[in-house]
Amino acid sequence: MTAASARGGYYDGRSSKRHEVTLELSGAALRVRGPGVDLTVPFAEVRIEESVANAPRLLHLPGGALVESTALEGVDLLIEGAGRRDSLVVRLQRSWRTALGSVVAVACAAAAFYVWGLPWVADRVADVIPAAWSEALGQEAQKALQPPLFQPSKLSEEARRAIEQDFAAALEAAGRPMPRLEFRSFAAGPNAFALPGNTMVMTDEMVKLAARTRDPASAILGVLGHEQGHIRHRHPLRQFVRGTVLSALAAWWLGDVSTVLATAAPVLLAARYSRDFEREADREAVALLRAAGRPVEPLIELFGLLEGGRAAKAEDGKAAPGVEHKRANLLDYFSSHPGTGERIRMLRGQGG
Amino acid sequence: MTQSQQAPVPLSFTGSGPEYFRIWIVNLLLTIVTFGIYSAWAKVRRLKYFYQNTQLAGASFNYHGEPLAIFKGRLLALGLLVAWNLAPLDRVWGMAIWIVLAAIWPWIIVRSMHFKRRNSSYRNVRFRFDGRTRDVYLPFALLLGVSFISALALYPGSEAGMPRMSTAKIAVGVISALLLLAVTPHFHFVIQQFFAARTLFGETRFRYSARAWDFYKIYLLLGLMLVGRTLAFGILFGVGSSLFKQGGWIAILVLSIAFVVFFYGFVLFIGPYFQVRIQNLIWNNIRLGGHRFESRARVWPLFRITVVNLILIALTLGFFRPFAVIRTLRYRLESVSLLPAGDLDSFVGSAEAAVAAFGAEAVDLFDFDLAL
Repeated sequence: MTAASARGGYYDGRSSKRHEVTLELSGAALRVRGPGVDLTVPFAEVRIEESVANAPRLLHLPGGALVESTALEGVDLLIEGAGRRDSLVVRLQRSWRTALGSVVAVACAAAAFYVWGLPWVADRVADVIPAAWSEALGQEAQKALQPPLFQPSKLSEEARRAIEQDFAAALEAAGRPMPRLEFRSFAAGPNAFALPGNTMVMTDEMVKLAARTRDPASAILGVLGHEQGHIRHRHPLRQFVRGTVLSALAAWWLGDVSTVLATAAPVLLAARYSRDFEREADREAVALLRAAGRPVEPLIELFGLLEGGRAAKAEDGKAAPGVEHKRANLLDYFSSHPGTGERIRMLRGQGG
Repeated sequence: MTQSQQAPVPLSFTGSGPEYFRIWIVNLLLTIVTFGIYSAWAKVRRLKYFYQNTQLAGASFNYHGEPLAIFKGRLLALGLLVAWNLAPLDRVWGMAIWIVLAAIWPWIIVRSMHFKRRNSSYRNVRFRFDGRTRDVYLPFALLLGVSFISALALYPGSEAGMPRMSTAKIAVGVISALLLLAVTPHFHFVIQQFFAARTLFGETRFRYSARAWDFYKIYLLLGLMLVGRTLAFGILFGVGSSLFKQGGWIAILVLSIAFVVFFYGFVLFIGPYFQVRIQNLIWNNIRLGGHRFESRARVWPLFRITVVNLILIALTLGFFRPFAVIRTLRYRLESVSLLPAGDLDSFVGSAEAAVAAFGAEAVDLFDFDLAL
């Protein structure tokens, strides 16, 4: 084997002047030779920059001088000849096999974190958040319950009193504390929701829709039980923490690319957590209705009405084409609530 | 002034997407496995890849940042970030944290510039930055002060009932917002001048000759385009609503797509527009000794690169990012040339001086990108 050698540029570090040199290995030393330069340094004292693929090789000589060479093959032979090799990370970063393995590992790690890690971490964070902060968040959210979208409730005093008393009695039977219940009129239609802290909101529109069921009082109690379940398990706060973590991750992953993508992604991803919470709240509704000795059917009927009757019919088996079912399930994936069909099935299973 | 007589020497970039992808994915995996600790080492490997693949007149650049110094900076930056995010929870503490962060912000940026320049080299000669925080403290304080007043005045009242705003508050808010708009280009000019004219290559200082008016032109043109887009949007809306009455659903579909393209397209356009205009302005007005530079980047090609990047990143759930970075970097770097006045041999290197890494990382975390 002929002695390895390579051409390159020598820079002494004191000026930007380039000296054309030839690099040679002589024993355990590196010889740098050219017009005006003739150095022999022990190779052990040469600091070789990690090789960066096709970029020039950079060799730092003791004393601050630098040799730069684009004759990659020659230099690499020379470095090998001196018994030096790249660090493990650099070798890993050169291999396609490691790269593809890393893609799989990263994807698995991300999926596992999304399904198990993040909910666990976020719930531990939610556990240590003082009740006062959670209450403050709820008050901040309550500020949104303002005109023009929200108006004070137009239900009669007695109607509200009756709902409250029914709710309180059921809670007592189930041995659960009473959250703060507020009534509002909501321009966007029937709804009910729980806020971070201890406040839940019932809308006039939901009460009116429930009046169309066979047993309005039980349907309303079911809805209240559902929202009470959210409050009991601190769903709004936990969802807030999970959403915050997701937003931070999305901002890190996509923030420098597109703010639109970085904003939309966490919303879609958080929907999965929200669906889990809805299922848990549905179970709470059933538990409350049972404790109060009331039927679940009116609540199922109300869900059917909310969905415009479609899902309820499909569930009855009169018109349940498989294709439509599939499409509904696919859409469910990005939806904040489970499909009405699934919820009704679940309620029937529990309540029956 | 020396007139350059030699042919322009373009910067060349030898980085490649597939190569960088492998570096990036291994960096990412190691960062995940080490719970983020490795990210400082990842940053050094990333920057070394970018710098060493950037060549000018047969020699490459290099990056010398110490991972451990960067790691310490990241820890501190993380602390600041947590403080910033906890600030809204308590009014008094939040205000105090906000004021402290605003007060040290210019210092962080100046330190980061020191670290970045000091750790860059070309032909074994280091770059250097000798700007001091007090040189930019006043412009920073003015900008932050005005934005603060404007945000405070325009923030909807938190009293119960309808968000209420007095006429006086609105007037103060609007005037300060307009003032902010009017001084932003000037601020941009002052900062860029500070960054450029305080930079040295070895012992030779960069000279910078752009004027504030040049920055105003860039902002004004964008303002005009914004007005134009709003007008076009209004016309589109008028046509759209009349078609809607006639019920031509294909026309409606086409119009809604046009709406999205118009809105989102313009948002996407702003980034490349600023990057190109500012890059050209800076490099075309900078001198190093007798050498001058020339930047011939154009908005349209960079916009195309940006849009394609975005689509591919969305389709690959983010895994196209390393390729996107290389594509953008190549375009931006290769549009810059050196207009040499003689050889590049006579720059004198300067003596060593240590710079703490803290600033560079705080800026990194807060996502404040410094042009090229």
